[in-house]
Amino acid sequence: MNRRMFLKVSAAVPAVVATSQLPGLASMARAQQKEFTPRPGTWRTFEITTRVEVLQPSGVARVWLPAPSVVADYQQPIENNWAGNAKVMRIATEPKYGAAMLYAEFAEGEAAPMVELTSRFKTQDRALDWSKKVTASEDAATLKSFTAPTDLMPTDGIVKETALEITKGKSTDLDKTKAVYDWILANTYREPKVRGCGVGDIKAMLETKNFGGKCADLNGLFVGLVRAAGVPARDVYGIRVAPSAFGYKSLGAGSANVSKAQHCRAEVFLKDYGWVAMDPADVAKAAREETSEFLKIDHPLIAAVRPKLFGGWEGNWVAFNTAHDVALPNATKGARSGS
Amino acid sequence: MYPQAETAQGRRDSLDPDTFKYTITTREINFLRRPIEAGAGAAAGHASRHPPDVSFSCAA
Repeated sequence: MNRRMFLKVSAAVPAVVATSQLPGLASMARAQQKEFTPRPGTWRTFEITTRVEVLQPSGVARVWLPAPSVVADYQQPIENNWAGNAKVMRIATEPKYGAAMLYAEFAEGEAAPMVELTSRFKTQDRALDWSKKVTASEDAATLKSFTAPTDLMPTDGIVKETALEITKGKSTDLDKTKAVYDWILANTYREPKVRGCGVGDIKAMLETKNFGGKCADLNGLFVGLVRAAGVPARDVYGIRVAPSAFGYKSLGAGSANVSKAQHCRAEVFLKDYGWVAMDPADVAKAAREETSEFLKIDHPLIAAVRPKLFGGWEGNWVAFNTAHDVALPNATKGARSGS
Repeated sequence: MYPQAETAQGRRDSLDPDTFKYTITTREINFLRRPIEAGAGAAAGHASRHPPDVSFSCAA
């Protein structure tokens, strides 16, 4: 990092921390108001910077950094800038899902491999108006893709059986989806000890009935069950970029350093509405982590969030991609990236 | 997707930013700035601008 970049980042931290303190101070008051009301209409522009220094390198070092590649009515990527001492640095796109990433390859013998990616984007809240039906259209191959199984998300066996049981008697895709959403919140819980976002091995979750997990587990199970019920659904992988404007400290970035703030949300395709925002995992997270107590799902603090995350979410997060089982271009080591 | 890296020793633990190592920072901006430029500390590097609607597919 050169001096100019260092000063730029350093200057940015107090500004973000300062703004993050305001929701923090207001959290008590807001919590008492029990308000969580994302509303589209106000675009915000953010920058996210990922800096990598490969420690103790050996042989050829390769790096892959996700870049926002979801273009939607709630998000608009603007540009990517990168710098470093790699011999190759370019944006690569994973072919199946279109997931964009910066690929960097360093010369063998490079003593201090370093690469930095800065992505700029606009984002806004989502909140579906259920009274306004539309004739949503989507590419048939896309819908088929997001109803299909993946390595960790089978849609047969116990997943299918559970989905059919949950949605028994429900005739519309909306009713089926709502039934799965409610089932997730009634049966799963946030487990803070899980590493990262969780693995999302939904078959194992159902077989062991170990329903503790994080977003990739809970939203992954939600998506898998919805797919198994015949409704297109997908995980949307991203990262939190700002505190919640509604004072929910568990539902936003805690500081300008978001190295561990990855979060995946979910979307379900409903013919009368298009791709609809869903995030039952964040309801479960608020229940577990918003206060020092493990709140029940019907606690007023959680009851305020629960209906809003069925059809909406807050624009304090950026979506990278909707890719499962990503095959990293030019990789020679290890397994696929889970998401 | 988490940052990923590999060396001759294998894949780095993407869930452990401190030993990987990586940092991710964010900030809200309300106006456009000039793109980041590589400096003297990255003598062998370069900076590029890349609009998100143009992409390259890797062969592998």
